[in-house]
Amino acid sequence: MIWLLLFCLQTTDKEAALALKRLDKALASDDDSSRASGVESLRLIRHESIRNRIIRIGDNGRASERVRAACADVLGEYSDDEVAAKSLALWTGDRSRLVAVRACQSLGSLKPDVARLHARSLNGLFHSKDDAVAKAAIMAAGVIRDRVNIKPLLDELALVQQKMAAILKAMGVGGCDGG
Amino acid sequence: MLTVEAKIKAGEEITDPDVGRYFSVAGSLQQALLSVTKQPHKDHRTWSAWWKKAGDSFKVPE
Repeated sequence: MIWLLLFCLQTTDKEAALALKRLDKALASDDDSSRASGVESLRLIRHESIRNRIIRIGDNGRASERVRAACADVLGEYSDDEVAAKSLALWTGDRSRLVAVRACQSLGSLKPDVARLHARSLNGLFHSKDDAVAKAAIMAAGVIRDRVNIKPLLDELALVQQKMAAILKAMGVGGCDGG
Repeated sequence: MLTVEAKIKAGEEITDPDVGRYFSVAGSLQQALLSVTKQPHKDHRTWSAWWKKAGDSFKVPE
């Protein structure tokens, strides 16, 4: 019964084409917020052509970070899609904080078997100078639960502890060593 | 804005947000580790005690 319902909800090629037309219209707007909303509106419509278009927009360096962050949100809906996961993994290292954070969150929202294929891409972000990116990557690793993240998480915790110990020492407070 | 390390070197005052970020990141790291390993790491208690002690160092005595 559930499969029948899911089958009925499948987006047809025609519906996808119409959605892409609406997207083109939104992307032609002068207002960045409208462009991002146009992308976000595709969250509920799953179709290969839409996914591919979203990836192209997200990969486009000329698109605004708000629009590309919306692309990361939409790809998060493709929970069992390896192509979407691959792009999200790539975007976790984006120069834009907004895009990187949203890509980490979306990667964490994918089905574990798919997300695990790219769990390693998070390791380099635990040490990010940008706390928001570091925390998003750490939290995504916590959700994905892959062994490949354990040592980098442990290493980062040891490093943070060392830094904290140095601060305490410099301030002349507490009796904590480097741990 | 100077990093905490640079502030210490420059002899500047360290504020709550300066150290807060380390507590925040360390908390996230411990949570993530707990989730990934599916059981507390052998050092989990030691870490918790260490960070509690570090946090207490910043408390102003009443």
